[in-house]
Amino acid sequence: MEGPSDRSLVLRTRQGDDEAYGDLVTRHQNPVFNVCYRLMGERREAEDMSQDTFIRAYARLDTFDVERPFGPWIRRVATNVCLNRIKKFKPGQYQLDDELDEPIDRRNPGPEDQRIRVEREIAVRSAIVELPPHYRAVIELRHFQVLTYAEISETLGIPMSDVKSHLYRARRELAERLNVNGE
Amino acid sequence: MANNTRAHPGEDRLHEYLDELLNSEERLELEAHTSSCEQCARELERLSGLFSELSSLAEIPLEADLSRVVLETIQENARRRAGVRIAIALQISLLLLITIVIGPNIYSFLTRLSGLLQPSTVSTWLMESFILFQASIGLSLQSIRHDLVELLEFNSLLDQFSIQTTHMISLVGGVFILWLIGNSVLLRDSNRFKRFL
Repeated sequence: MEGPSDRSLVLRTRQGDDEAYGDLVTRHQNPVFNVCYRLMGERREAEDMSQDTFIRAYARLDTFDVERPFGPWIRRVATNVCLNRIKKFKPGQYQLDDELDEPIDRRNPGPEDQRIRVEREIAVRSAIVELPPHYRAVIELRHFQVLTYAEISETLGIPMSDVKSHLYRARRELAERLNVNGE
Repeated sequence: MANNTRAHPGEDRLHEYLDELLNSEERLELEAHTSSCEQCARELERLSGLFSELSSLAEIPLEADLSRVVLETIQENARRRAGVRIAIALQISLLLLITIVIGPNIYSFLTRLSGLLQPSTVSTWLMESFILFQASIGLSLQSIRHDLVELLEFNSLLDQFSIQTTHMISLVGGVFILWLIGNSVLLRDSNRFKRFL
């Protein structure tokens, strides 16, 4: 990694150097945005949640263990920020926008196989977003952040048995919605 | 492929297999079962297909740099926090001052009202202290008033509107209390700020 390490930037931020935190934001904003985008399904909302994530993380930076990597920590904060936001939605309030939220490739369809791949990607994202909040969170943490069951339990503050049941049900629902046949 | 007559492992076991939570013996046992059980093999394949779908989801590029907005918001929040701390400290100081200044008036009013309060040594000492403090403040205010009257040549008005210093102090104290209540209501409504406290 070029430039100062995350650890050094965190330590400088703690000493009052806000520019160091700006560098941390620049370095981690894309992965954080993708966490938010997978959970929220809408670009504008995902950008807002990404900003909220970094603002909240700044306030809690004293609780971060500098001996551990910053990336996984900030992505877990993003998951919780989004989860709290999703819980405030009324059922049916959230809808994916047709054009705005689709990958840019969709607007300029190329060869047939690319079109099919993009269509499938949209279907997967939509299926995730349609899951109940906790199911969405466990899918995100297990499949995209590659956390263990114990780490998911700690991040979401729920028992391990709930992690398993949420995860298995979420996968079952996703497989049904996507009509996955394993081919 | 013929169905195995042995008991099916159950869906949870398939999830644990794909999550690599089974030990080698359990893995071999499940693999042996799925190799001879079409139903479980199909279910495992279905779940495995879902894993592939999820892992192949592409990353979306962020189109704007968030660092500037984040830093501006953090700095704005810090300024607000400092402002609120100063306001709270100021209000507490004023509240204490007002209590000291108009304390004797309230005390004597309550005493007259109830007729039950018998001054103890401590309360008498407190009241004497209050009165002493009030007198010093009162003298200052009286001096200011006389200076203003002379400066503005309101001598004739002074005779017409003879205001007691204690009344003036009570009036000022009352206005300050109203101001404090108003400010506390304003602070309570600053929900946006509370989000980041």
